[in-house]
Amino acid sequence: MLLAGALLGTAACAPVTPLDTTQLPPIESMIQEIDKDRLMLTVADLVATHKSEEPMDCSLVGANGSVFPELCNLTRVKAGELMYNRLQQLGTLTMSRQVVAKDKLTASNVIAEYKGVKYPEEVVLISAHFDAYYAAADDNSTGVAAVLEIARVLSQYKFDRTLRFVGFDLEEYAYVGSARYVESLREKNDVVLAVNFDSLGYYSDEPGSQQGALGLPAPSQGNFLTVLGNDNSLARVDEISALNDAFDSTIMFGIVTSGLGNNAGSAPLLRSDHGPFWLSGHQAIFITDTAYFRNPGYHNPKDTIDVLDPVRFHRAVQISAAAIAYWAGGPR
Amino acid sequence: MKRTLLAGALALAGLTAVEARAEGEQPAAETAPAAEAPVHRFGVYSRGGVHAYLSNSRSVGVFGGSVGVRDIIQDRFILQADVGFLTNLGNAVPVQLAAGVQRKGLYSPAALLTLTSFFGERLTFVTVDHPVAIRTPPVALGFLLAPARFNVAGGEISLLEFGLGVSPEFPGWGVAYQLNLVSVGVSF
Repeated sequence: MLLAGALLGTAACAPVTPLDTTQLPPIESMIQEIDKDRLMLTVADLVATHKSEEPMDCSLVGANGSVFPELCNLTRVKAGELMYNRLQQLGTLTMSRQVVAKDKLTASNVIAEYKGVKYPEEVVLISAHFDAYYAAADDNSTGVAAVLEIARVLSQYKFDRTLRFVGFDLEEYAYVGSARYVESLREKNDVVLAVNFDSLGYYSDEPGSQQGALGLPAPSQGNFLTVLGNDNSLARVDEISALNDAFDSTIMFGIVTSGLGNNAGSAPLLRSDHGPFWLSGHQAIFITDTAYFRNPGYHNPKDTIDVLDPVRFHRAVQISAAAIAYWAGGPR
Repeated sequence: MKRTLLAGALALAGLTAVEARAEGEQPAAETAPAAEAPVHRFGVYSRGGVHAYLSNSRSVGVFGGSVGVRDIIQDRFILQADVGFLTNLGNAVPVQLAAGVQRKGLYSPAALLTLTSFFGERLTFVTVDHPVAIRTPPVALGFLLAPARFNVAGGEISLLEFGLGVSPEFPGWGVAYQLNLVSVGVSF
Protein backbone atom coordinates (compact mmCIF):
# COMPACT_ATOMS: atom_id res chain seq x y z
CA MET A 1 0.00 0.00 0.00
CA LEU A 2 2.84 2.38 0.89
CA LEU A 3 4.44 1.57 -2.44
CA ALA A 4 1.17 2.24 -4.21
CA GLY A 5 0.89 5.54 -2.39
CA ALA A 6 4.42 6.51 -3.30
CA LEU A 7 3.81 5.64 -6.95
CA LEU A 8 0.58 7.58 -7.05
CA GLY A 9 2.32 10.51 -5.40
CA THR A 10 5.10 10.40 -7.96
CA ALA A 11 2.56 10.41 -10.76
CA ALA A 12 1.04 13.53 -9.26
CA CYS A 13 4.40 15.31 -9.43
CA ALA A 14 4.75 15.42 -13.22
CA PRO A 15 6.76 18.45 -14.40
CA VAL A 16 5.10 21.55 -15.81
CA THR A 17 6.00 22.47 -19.39
CA PRO A 18 6.41 26.24 -19.78
CA LEU A 19 4.63 28.08 -22.60
CA ASP A 20 6.40 28.46 -25.93
CA THR A 21 6.39 32.26 -25.89
CA THR A 22 7.47 32.59 -29.53
CA GLN A 23 3.94 31.55 -30.50
CA LEU A 24 2.26 34.30 -28.52
CA PRO A 25 2.61 37.47 -30.67
CA PRO A 26 0.87 36.03 -33.77
CA ILE A 27 -1.79 34.45 -31.56
CA GLU A 28 -2.45 37.76 -29.81
CA SER A 29 -2.81 39.48 -33.14
CA MET A 30 -5.12 36.77 -34.49
CA ILE A 31 -7.59 36.78 -31.60
CA GLN A 32 -8.28 40.48 -32.16
CA GLU A 33 -10.27 39.31 -35.16
CA ILE A 34 -12.81 37.54 -32.96
CA ASP A 35 -15.81 39.81 -33.45
CA LYS A 36 -18.08 40.49 -30.48
CA ASP A 37 -21.00 41.78 -32.54
CA ARG A 38 -20.81 38.87 -34.93
CA LEU A 39 -20.83 36.45 -31.99
CA MET A 40 -23.99 37.99 -30.56
CA LEU A 41 -25.67 38.11 -33.97
CA THR A 42 -24.98 34.41 -34.42
CA VAL A 43 -26.45 33.71 -30.98
CA ALA A 44 -29.54 35.73 -31.98
CA ASP A 45 -29.86 33.74 -35.21
CA LEU A 46 -29.58 30.45 -33.34
CA VAL A 47 -32.14 31.52 -30.74
CA ALA A 48 -34.55 32.50 -33.52
CA THR A 49 -33.91 29.15 -35.18
CA HIS A 50 -34.69 27.19 -32.03
CA LYS A 51 -37.84 29.23 -31.42
CA SER A 52 -39.07 28.62 -34.96
CA GLU A 53 -38.84 24.83 -34.72
CA GLU A 54 -41.41 22.39 -33.44
CA PRO A 55 -39.88 20.52 -30.47
CA MET A 56 -38.82 16.95 -30.98
CA ASP A 57 -41.37 14.24 -30.28
CA CYS A 58 -40.69 13.31 -26.67
CA SER A 59 -42.78 10.16 -26.49
CA LEU A 60 -39.48 8.25 -26.31
CA VAL A 61 -38.82 9.55 -22.81
CA GLY A 62 -42.22 8.39 -21.53
CA ALA A 63 -43.26 9.66 -18.12
CA ASN A 64 -39.96 11.51 -17.73
CA GLY A 65 -41.43 14.19 -19.98
CA SER A 66 -43.85 15.28 -17.26
CA VAL A 67 -41.17 15.22 -14.54
CA PHE A 68 -38.60 17.03 -16.69
CA PRO A 69 -40.61 19.26 -19.07
CA GLU A 70 -37.45 20.39 -20.85
CA LEU A 71 -37.24 16.93 -22.41
CA CYS A 72 -40.30 17.83 -24.45
CA ASN A 73 -38.86 21.19 -25.53
CA LEU A 74 -35.79 20.05 -27.45
CA THR A 75 -35.05 21.48 -30.89
CA ARG A 76 -32.12 20.52 -33.09
CA VAL A 77 -32.74 20.17 -36.80
CA LYS A 78 -32.64 23.81 -37.90
CA ALA A 79 -29.75 24.70 -35.61
CA GLY A 80 -27.75 21.82 -37.08
CA GLU A 81 -28.52 23.06 -40.59
CA LEU A 82 -27.51 26.60 -39.66
CA MET A 83 -24.22 25.38 -38.22
CA TYR A 84 -23.52 23.28 -41.32
CA ASN A 85 -24.36 26.11 -43.72
CA ARG A 86 -22.28 28.73 -41.89
CA LEU A 87 -19.22 26.46 -41.83
CA GLN A 88 -19.71 25.57 -45.50
CA GLN A 89 -19.94 29.25 -46.44
CA LEU A 90 -16.38 29.76 -45.22
CA GLY A 91 -15.34 27.92 -48.34
CA THR A 92 -12.15 26.41 -46.97
CA LEU A 93 -13.49 23.53 -44.89
CA THR A 94 -14.25 19.95 -45.88
CA MET A 95 -17.85 19.34 -44.83
CA SER A 96 -19.69 16.19 -43.81
CA ARG A 97 -22.43 14.91 -41.54
CA GLN A 98 -22.05 11.82 -39.45
CA VAL A 99 -25.45 10.18 -39.19
CA VAL A 100 -25.77 7.24 -36.81
CA ALA A 101 -29.15 5.57 -36.31
CA LYS A 102 -29.27 3.32 -33.28
CA ASP A 103 -31.56 2.53 -30.36
CA LYS A 104 -34.53 4.58 -31.63
CA LEU A 105 -32.47 7.78 -31.88
CA THR A 106 -30.70 9.08 -34.95
CA ALA A 107 -27.87 11.48 -34.21
CA SER A 108 -26.60 13.70 -37.01
CA ASN A 109 -23.32 15.42 -36.15
CA VAL A 110 -21.95 18.32 -38.19
CA ILE A 111 -18.26 17.99 -39.14
CA ALA A 112 -16.02 20.53 -40.85
CA GLU A 113 -12.32 19.96 -41.29
CA TYR A 114 -9.42 22.30 -41.97
CA LYS A 115 -6.24 20.40 -42.84
CA GLY A 116 -3.02 21.01 -40.96
CA VAL A 117 0.13 21.69 -42.94
CA LYS A 118 2.73 19.83 -40.85
CA TYR A 119 0.91 17.11 -38.93
CA PRO A 120 -2.38 16.73 -40.83
CA GLU A 121 -2.95 13.33 -39.23
CA GLU A 122 -3.17 14.97 -35.78
CA VAL A 123 -6.56 16.55 -35.14
CA VAL A 124 -7.57 19.22 -32.65
CA LEU A 125 -11.34 18.90 -32.37
CA ILE A 126 -13.45 21.96 -31.45
CA SER A 127 -17.05 21.17 -30.54
CA ALA A 128 -20.38 22.39 -29.21
CA HIS A 129 -23.78 20.76 -29.17
CA PHE A 130 -26.46 22.38 -31.31
CA ASP A 131 -29.49 20.61 -29.87
CA ALA A 132 -31.04 22.69 -27.10
CA TYR A 133 -33.99 23.30 -24.82
CA TYR A 134 -36.31 26.32 -25.16
CA ALA A 135 -34.68 29.49 -26.56
CA ALA A 136 -31.26 28.10 -25.65
CA ALA A 137 -29.34 31.39 -25.64
CA ASP A 138 -26.62 30.35 -23.22
CA ASP A 139 -27.02 26.57 -23.48
CA ASN A 140 -25.85 26.24 -26.14
CA SER A 141 -26.18 28.95 -28.79
CA THR A 142 -23.15 30.61 -27.22
CA GLY A 143 -21.10 27.42 -27.65
CA VAL A 144 -22.17 27.00 -31.29
CA ALA A 145 -21.48 30.68 -32.00
CA ALA A 146 -18.01 30.26 -30.48
CA VAL A 147 -17.26 27.31 -32.79
CA LEU A 148 -18.48 29.24 -35.83
CA GLU A 149 -16.50 32.39 -34.99
CA ILE A 150 -13.32 30.48 -34.19
CA ALA A 151 -13.70 28.56 -37.46
CA ARG A 152 -14.14 31.81 -39.36
CA VAL A 153 -11.03 33.41 -37.91
CA LEU A 154 -8.69 30.42 -37.71
CA SER A 155 -9.49 29.22 -41.23
CA GLN A 156 -7.77 32.36 -42.52
CA TYR A 157 -4.44 31.02 -41.21
CA LYS A 158 -2.36 27.85 -41.45
CA PHE A 159 -1.76 25.45 -38.55
CA ASP A 160 0.50 22.48 -38.02
CA ARG A 161 -2.37 20.25 -36.96
CA THR A 162 -5.78 19.70 -38.50
CA LEU A 163 -8.69 21.61 -37.00
CA ARG A 164 -11.97 19.71 -36.93
CA PHE A 165 -15.06 21.75 -36.04
CA VAL A 166 -17.89 19.55 -34.82
CA GLY A 167 -21.49 20.24 -33.90
CA PHE A 168 -22.76 17.43 -31.70
CA ASP A 169 -26.36 16.35 -31.86
CA LEU A 170 -28.45 15.11 -28.92
CA GLU A 171 -26.13 16.17 -26.12
CA GLU A 172 -29.18 16.90 -24.02
CA TYR A 173 -30.28 13.28 -24.42
CA ALA A 174 -27.28 11.79 -22.61
CA TYR A 175 -24.52 12.84 -25.04
CA VAL A 176 -25.76 10.57 -27.81
CA GLY A 177 -24.03 12.45 -30.64
CA SER A 178 -20.61 12.72 -29.00
CA ALA A 179 -20.73 9.16 -27.66
CA ARG A 180 -21.35 7.82 -31.16
CA TYR A 181 -18.64 10.05 -32.57
CA VAL A 182 -16.14 8.76 -30.01
CA GLU A 183 -17.20 5.19 -30.85
CA SER A 184 -16.29 5.91 -34.47
CA LEU A 185 -12.78 6.93 -33.40
CA ARG A 186 -12.06 3.27 -32.68
CA GLU A 187 -11.61 2.83 -36.44
CA LYS A 188 -9.35 5.83 -36.87
CA ASN A 189 -8.19 7.58 -33.73
CA ASP A 190 -6.71 10.82 -34.98
CA VAL A 191 -7.98 13.22 -32.30
CA VAL A 192 -5.10 14.41 -30.13
CA LEU A 193 -7.19 16.94 -28.22
CA ALA A 194 -10.87 17.83 -27.99
CA VAL A 195 -12.03 21.30 -26.87
CA ASN A 196 -15.71 21.40 -25.99
CA PHE A 197 -17.85 24.50 -25.44
CA ASP A 198 -21.10 24.35 -23.52
CA SER A 199 -22.64 27.57 -22.15
CA LEU A 200 -20.21 30.47 -22.40
CA GLY A 201 -22.25 33.65 -21.99
CA TYR A 202 -23.77 33.96 -18.51
CA TYR A 203 -21.85 35.93 -15.86
CA SER A 204 -22.79 37.75 -12.66
CA ASP A 205 -20.88 39.99 -10.27
CA GLU A 206 -23.46 39.45 -7.52
CA PRO A 207 -21.91 37.88 -4.40
CA GLY A 208 -23.42 34.44 -3.96
CA SER A 209 -24.32 34.11 -7.63
CA GLN A 210 -21.99 31.14 -8.04
CA GLN A 211 -22.81 27.80 -6.49
CA GLY A 212 -20.30 25.11 -5.54
CA ALA A 213 -20.51 21.68 -3.97
CA LEU A 214 -18.65 19.54 -1.43
CA GLY A 215 -15.12 19.29 -2.73
CA LEU A 216 -15.92 21.73 -5.51
CA PRO A 217 -15.21 25.17 -4.04
CA ALA A 218 -15.90 28.17 -6.22
CA PRO A 219 -15.57 31.93 -5.92
CA SER A 220 -18.73 33.61 -4.67
CA GLN A 221 -19.21 35.75 -7.78
CA GLY A 222 -20.15 33.96 -10.97
CA ASN A 223 -18.00 36.20 -13.13
CA PHE A 224 -15.32 33.75 -14.26
CA LEU A 225 -14.77 31.32 -17.09
CA THR A 226 -14.20 27.71 -16.08
CA VAL A 227 -11.83 25.34 -17.84
CA LEU A 228 -12.03 21.67 -16.92
CA GLY A 229 -9.61 18.90 -17.63
CA ASN A 230 -8.80 15.47 -16.28
CA ASP A 231 -5.42 13.93 -15.50
CA ASN A 232 -4.84 13.24 -19.20
CA SER A 233 -5.32 16.90 -20.06
CA LEU A 234 -3.90 18.52 -16.93
CA ALA A 235 -1.11 20.23 -18.88
CA ARG A 236 -3.67 21.81 -21.22
CA VAL A 237 -5.45 23.42 -18.27
CA ASP A 238 -2.15 24.87 -17.09
CA GLU A 239 -1.42 26.14 -20.60
CA ILE A 240 -4.74 27.89 -21.17
CA SER A 241 -4.42 29.43 -17.71
CA ALA A 242 -0.92 30.70 -18.61
CA LEU A 243 -2.21 32.05 -21.94
CA ASN A 244 -5.02 33.80 -20.10
CA ASP A 245 -2.47 35.44 -17.81
CA ALA A 246 -0.25 36.39 -20.75
CA PHE A 247 -3.14 38.05 -22.61
CA ASP A 248 -4.92 39.31 -19.48
CA SER A 249 -8.16 38.07 -21.04
CA THR A 250 -10.64 37.17 -18.35
CA ILE A 251 -11.08 35.74 -14.87
CA MET A 252 -10.40 32.03 -15.21
CA PHE A 253 -10.97 29.12 -12.84
CA GLY A 254 -9.40 25.81 -13.77
CA ILE A 255 -10.50 22.43 -12.46
CA VAL A 256 -8.59 19.22 -13.00
CA THR A 257 -10.47 16.09 -12.04
CA SER A 258 -8.57 12.95 -11.21
CA GLY A 259 -8.14 9.89 -13.35
CA LEU A 260 -10.48 9.82 -16.30
CA GLY A 261 -12.91 12.03 -14.38
CA ASN A 262 -15.48 9.35 -13.59
CA ASN A 263 -15.48 9.69 -9.81
CA ALA A 264 -18.75 9.92 -7.89
CA GLY A 265 -17.85 13.23 -6.25
CA SER A 266 -16.94 14.92 -9.51
CA ALA A 267 -19.81 13.54 -11.59
CA PRO A 268 -21.18 17.04 -12.40
CA LEU A 269 -17.92 17.76 -14.21
CA LEU A 270 -18.66 15.04 -16.77
CA ARG A 271 -21.90 16.58 -17.95
CA SER A 272 -21.22 17.61 -21.52
CA ASP A 273 -19.76 16.26 -24.75
CA HIS A 274 -16.20 16.10 -23.41
CA GLY A 275 -17.40 13.23 -21.18
CA PRO A 276 -17.23 10.47 -23.82
CA PHE A 277 -13.76 11.70 -24.79
CA TRP A 278 -12.55 11.58 -21.18
CA LEU A 279 -13.99 8.14 -20.58
CA SER A 280 -12.30 6.75 -23.68
CA GLY A 281 -8.91 8.09 -22.59
CA HIS A 282 -8.69 11.08 -24.94
CA GLN A 283 -7.31 14.45 -23.97
CA ALA A 284 -10.27 16.81 -23.71
CA ILE A 285 -10.88 20.27 -22.31
CA PHE A 286 -14.30 21.60 -21.34
CA ILE A 287 -14.84 25.39 -21.40
CA THR A 288 -17.99 26.71 -19.74
CA ASP A 289 -19.61 29.40 -17.60
CA THR A 290 -20.59 26.47 -15.30
CA ALA A 291 -24.23 26.46 -16.52
CA TYR A 292 -26.56 25.31 -13.71
CA PHE A 293 -24.04 26.17 -11.01
CA ARG A 294 -24.75 29.80 -11.94
CA ASN A 295 -27.42 30.39 -14.55
CA PRO A 296 -31.04 30.48 -13.25
CA GLY A 297 -32.18 30.03 -16.84
CA TYR A 298 -30.56 26.61 -17.17
CA HIS A 299 -32.90 24.25 -19.04
CA ASN A 300 -35.91 26.49 -18.67
CA PRO A 301 -37.66 29.26 -20.63
CA LYS A 302 -35.51 31.95 -18.96
CA ASP A 303 -32.44 31.01 -21.02
CA THR A 304 -32.81 34.11 -23.20
CA ILE A 305 -30.34 36.33 -25.03
CA ASP A 306 -30.98 39.42 -22.89
CA VAL A 307 -29.29 37.86 -19.83
CA LEU A 308 -26.00 37.17 -21.62
CA ASP A 309 -22.88 39.25 -21.03
CA PRO A 310 -21.49 40.03 -24.52
CA VAL A 311 -18.17 41.44 -23.26
CA ARG A 312 -17.22 38.45 -21.13
CA PHE A 313 -18.58 36.05 -23.72
CA HIS A 314 -16.32 37.71 -26.30
CA ARG A 315 -13.29 37.38 -24.00
CA ALA A 316 -14.11 33.73 -23.37
CA VAL A 317 -14.10 33.04 -27.10
CA GLN A 318 -10.89 35.04 -27.60
CA ILE A 319 -8.92 33.11 -25.00
CA SER A 320 -10.37 29.83 -26.29
CA ALA A 321 -9.27 30.71 -29.82
CA ALA A 322 -5.81 31.57 -28.51
CA ALA A 323 -5.49 28.21 -26.77
CA ILE A 324 -6.77 26.27 -29.81
CA ALA A 325 -4.27 28.07 -32.05
CA TYR A 326 -1.49 27.33 -29.56
CA TRP A 327 -2.38 23.63 -29.40
CA ALA A 328 -2.80 23.37 -33.17
CA GLY A 329 0.67 24.84 -33.76
CA GLY A 330 0.03 28.22 -35.32
CA PRO A 331 -1.03 30.54 -36.68
CA ARG A 332 1.29 30.73 -39.69
CA MET B 1 -7.08 17.87 48.82
CA LYS B 2 -5.35 19.82 46.08
CA ARG B 3 -3.76 16.60 44.84
CA THR B 4 -7.17 14.95 44.70
CA LEU B 5 -8.69 17.77 42.66
CA LEU B 6 -5.80 17.77 40.22
CA ALA B 7 -5.96 14.03 39.75
CA GLY B 8 -9.74 14.24 39.34
CA ALA B 9 -9.40 16.91 36.68
CA LEU B 10 -6.86 14.85 34.77
CA ALA B 11 -9.07 11.81 35.03
CA LEU B 12 -12.01 13.78 33.67
CA ALA B 13 -9.85 14.94 30.81
CA GLY B 14 -9.26 11.30 30.07
CA LEU B 15 -5.52 11.73 29.81
CA THR B 16 -4.44 9.89 32.95
CA ALA B 17 -5.32 6.65 34.63
CA VAL B 18 -8.22 6.30 36.98
CA GLU B 19 -6.02 6.80 39.92
CA ALA B 20 -7.70 9.77 41.45
CA ARG B 21 -8.26 8.68 44.95
CA ALA B 22 -9.16 10.44 48.12
CA GLU B 23 -6.20 11.28 50.27
CA GLY B 24 -5.31 8.40 52.48
CA GLU B 25 -6.88 5.75 50.30
CA GLN B 26 -4.58 2.78 49.77
CA PRO B 27 -3.31 2.28 46.22
CA ALA B 28 -4.52 -0.96 44.64
CA ALA B 29 -0.97 -2.13 44.09
CA GLU B 30 -0.40 -2.14 47.81
CA THR B 31 -3.46 -4.25 48.57
CA ALA B 32 -3.26 -6.83 45.80
CA PRO B 33 -0.47 -7.94 43.48
CA ALA B 34 -1.21 -6.81 39.92
CA ALA B 35 0.08 -8.34 36.71
CA GLU B 36 3.01 -6.37 35.37
CA ALA B 37 1.92 -4.51 32.21
CA PRO B 38 4.29 -5.05 29.31
CA VAL B 39 6.35 -2.04 28.25
CA HIS B 40 5.31 -2.44 24.62
CA ARG B 41 2.04 -3.80 23.34
CA PHE B 42 2.12 -4.11 19.59
CA GLY B 43 -1.04 -4.40 17.61
CA VAL B 44 -2.88 -3.78 14.41
CA TYR B 45 -6.01 -1.75 13.81
CA SER B 46 -8.50 -0.88 11.14
CA ARG B 47 -10.93 1.99 10.84
CA GLY B 48 -13.45 3.45 8.45
CA GLY B 49 -15.29 6.68 7.91
CA VAL B 50 -14.82 10.07 6.32
CA HIS B 51 -11.41 11.53 5.64
CA ALA B 52 -10.99 14.48 3.31
CA TYR B 53 -8.58 17.26 2.58
CA LEU B 54 -10.20 20.43 1.30
CA SER B 55 -8.62 23.71 0.23
CA ASN B 56 -9.03 26.34 -2.45
CA SER B 57 -6.49 24.55 -4.60
CA ARG B 58 -7.41 20.87 -4.21
CA SER B 59 -9.87 18.39 -2.75
CA VAL B 60 -8.96 14.82 -1.83
CA GLY B 61 -10.68 11.77 -0.41
CA VAL B 62 -14.02 11.61 1.42
CA PHE B 63 -15.04 7.97 2.10
CA GLY B 64 -12.85 5.01 2.97
CA GLY B 65 -10.78 3.25 5.59
CA SER B 66 -7.31 2.46 6.80
CA VAL B 67 -5.26 -0.33 8.33
CA GLY B 68 -2.29 0.29 10.57
CA VAL B 69 0.16 -0.85 13.19
CA ARG B 70 0.31 0.47 16.72
CA ASP B 71 2.62 0.33 19.72
CA ILE B 72 1.15 1.11 23.12
CA ILE B 73 3.96 1.92 25.54
CA GLN B 74 3.46 1.36 29.25
CA ASP B 75 -0.29 1.31 28.64
CA ARG B 76 -0.12 5.06 28.28
CA PHE B 77 1.62 6.29 25.15
CA ILE B 78 0.56 5.46 21.61
CA LEU B 79 2.61 5.38 18.42
CA GLN B 80 0.79 4.35 15.28
CA ALA B 81 1.00 4.45 11.51
CA ASP B 82 -1.62 3.56 8.96
CA VAL B 83 -2.33 3.60 5.28
CA GLY B 84 -5.74 3.62 3.69
CA PHE B 85 -7.89 4.01 0.66
CA LEU B 86 -10.31 6.87 0.03
CA THR B 87 -12.74 7.42 -2.80
CA ASN B 88 -15.37 9.86 -4.09
CA LEU B 89 -13.16 12.70 -5.35
CA GLY B 90 -10.81 10.17 -6.92
CA ASN B 91 -8.92 7.21 -5.52
CA ALA B 92 -6.52 8.44 -2.87
CA VAL B 93 -4.14 6.82 -0.41
CA PRO B 94 -3.88 8.58 2.96
CA VAL B 95 -0.82 7.82 5.06
CA GLN B 96 -0.98 8.88 8.69
CA LEU B 97 1.60 8.86 11.46
CA ALA B 98 0.36 9.61 14.97
CA ALA B 99 1.60 9.81 18.52
CA GLY B 100 -0.41 10.44 21.66
CA VAL B 101 -1.65 9.30 25.02
CA GLN B 102 -4.48 7.15 26.26
CA ARG B 103 -6.17 6.71 29.56
CA LYS B 104 -5.43 3.43 31.29
CA GLY B 105 -8.20 1.00 31.95
CA LEU B 106 -11.36 -0.25 30.28
CA TYR B 107 -12.48 3.21 29.23
CA SER B 108 -9.44 4.50 27.42
CA PRO B 109 -10.04 7.71 25.48
CA ALA B 110 -7.05 8.93 23.56
CA ALA B 111 -5.65 12.07 22.02
CA LEU B 112 -3.04 11.99 19.28
CA LEU B 113 -1.01 14.38 17.21
CA THR B 114 -1.19 13.41 13.55
CA LEU B 115 0.83 13.91 10.41
CA THR B 116 -1.16 12.94 7.33
CA SER B 117 -0.37 12.94 3.67
CA PHE B 118 -2.78 12.20 0.83
CA PHE B 119 -1.33 10.54 -2.24
CA GLY B 120 -3.02 9.72 -5.50
CA GLU B 121 -6.04 11.17 -7.23
CA ARG B 122 -7.72 14.43 -6.30
CA LEU B 123 -9.53 17.46 -7.69
CA THR B 124 -7.15 20.33 -8.39
CA PHE B 125 -8.09 23.96 -8.92
CA VAL B 126 -6.14 26.46 -11.00
CA THR B 127 -6.80 29.94 -9.65
CA VAL B 128 -5.21 33.37 -9.47
CA ASP B 129 -3.43 32.31 -6.28
CA HIS B 130 -2.43 28.95 -7.76
CA PRO B 131 -1.94 29.53 -11.49
CA VAL B 132 -0.49 26.05 -11.98
CA ALA B 133 -2.15 22.86 -10.78
CA ILE B 134 -0.39 21.65 -7.63
CA ARG B 135 1.13 18.22 -8.21
CA THR B 136 2.58 17.43 -4.79
CA PRO B 137 0.51 15.74 -2.08
CA PRO B 138 -0.62 17.83 0.91
CA VAL B 139 0.88 17.06 4.33
CA ALA B 140 -1.40 18.03 7.20
CA LEU B 141 -0.39 18.43 10.83
CA GLY B 142 -3.25 18.00 13.26
CA PHE B 143 -4.86 16.02 16.00
CA LEU B 144 -7.17 13.06 16.42
CA LEU B 145 -9.45 12.60 19.41
CA ALA B 146 -10.99 9.28 20.40
CA PRO B 147 -13.48 10.08 23.19
CA ALA B 148 -15.35 6.77 23.03
CA ARG B 149 -12.52 4.26 23.07
CA PHE B 150 -12.43 1.06 25.08
CA ASN B 151 -9.80 -1.57 25.90
CA VAL B 152 -11.31 -5.02 26.12
CA ALA B 153 -9.26 -8.16 26.59
CA GLY B 154 -6.29 -7.07 24.54
CA GLY B 155 -8.36 -5.34 21.91
CA GLU B 156 -9.53 -1.80 21.36
CA ILE B 157 -12.73 -0.47 19.93
CA SER B 158 -13.34 3.17 19.33
CA LEU B 159 -16.40 4.96 18.04
CA LEU B 160 -16.72 8.38 16.46
CA GLU B 161 -13.13 9.53 16.42
CA PHE B 162 -12.68 12.98 14.99
CA GLY B 163 -9.69 14.96 13.88
CA LEU B 164 -8.55 18.08 12.12
CA GLY B 165 -5.33 19.04 10.46
CA VAL B 166 -3.91 21.89 8.45
CA SER B 167 -1.49 22.01 5.56
CA PRO B 168 0.12 25.07 3.99
CA GLU B 169 -0.88 25.79 0.40
CA PHE B 170 1.45 28.71 -0.37
CA PRO B 171 -0.60 30.86 -0.22
CA GLY B 172 -3.36 29.86 2.16
CA TRP B 173 -4.16 26.72 4.10
CA GLY B 174 -6.01 23.54 3.55
CA VAL B 175 -7.88 21.59 6.19
CA ALA B 176 -7.94 17.82 6.66
CA TYR B 177 -11.18 16.55 8.20
CA GLN B 178 -11.35 13.11 9.74
CA LEU B 179 -14.34 11.31 11.20
CA ASN B 180 -13.79 7.63 11.92
CA LEU B 181 -17.11 5.95 12.53
CA VAL B 182 -15.47 2.93 14.06
CA SER B 183 -11.94 1.76 14.75
CA VAL B 184 -11.08 -1.73 15.88
CA GLY B 185 -7.66 -2.94 17.05
CA VAL B 186 -6.00 -6.02 18.46
CA SER B 187 -2.85 -6.00 20.62
CA PHE B 188 -0.42 -8.88 21.00
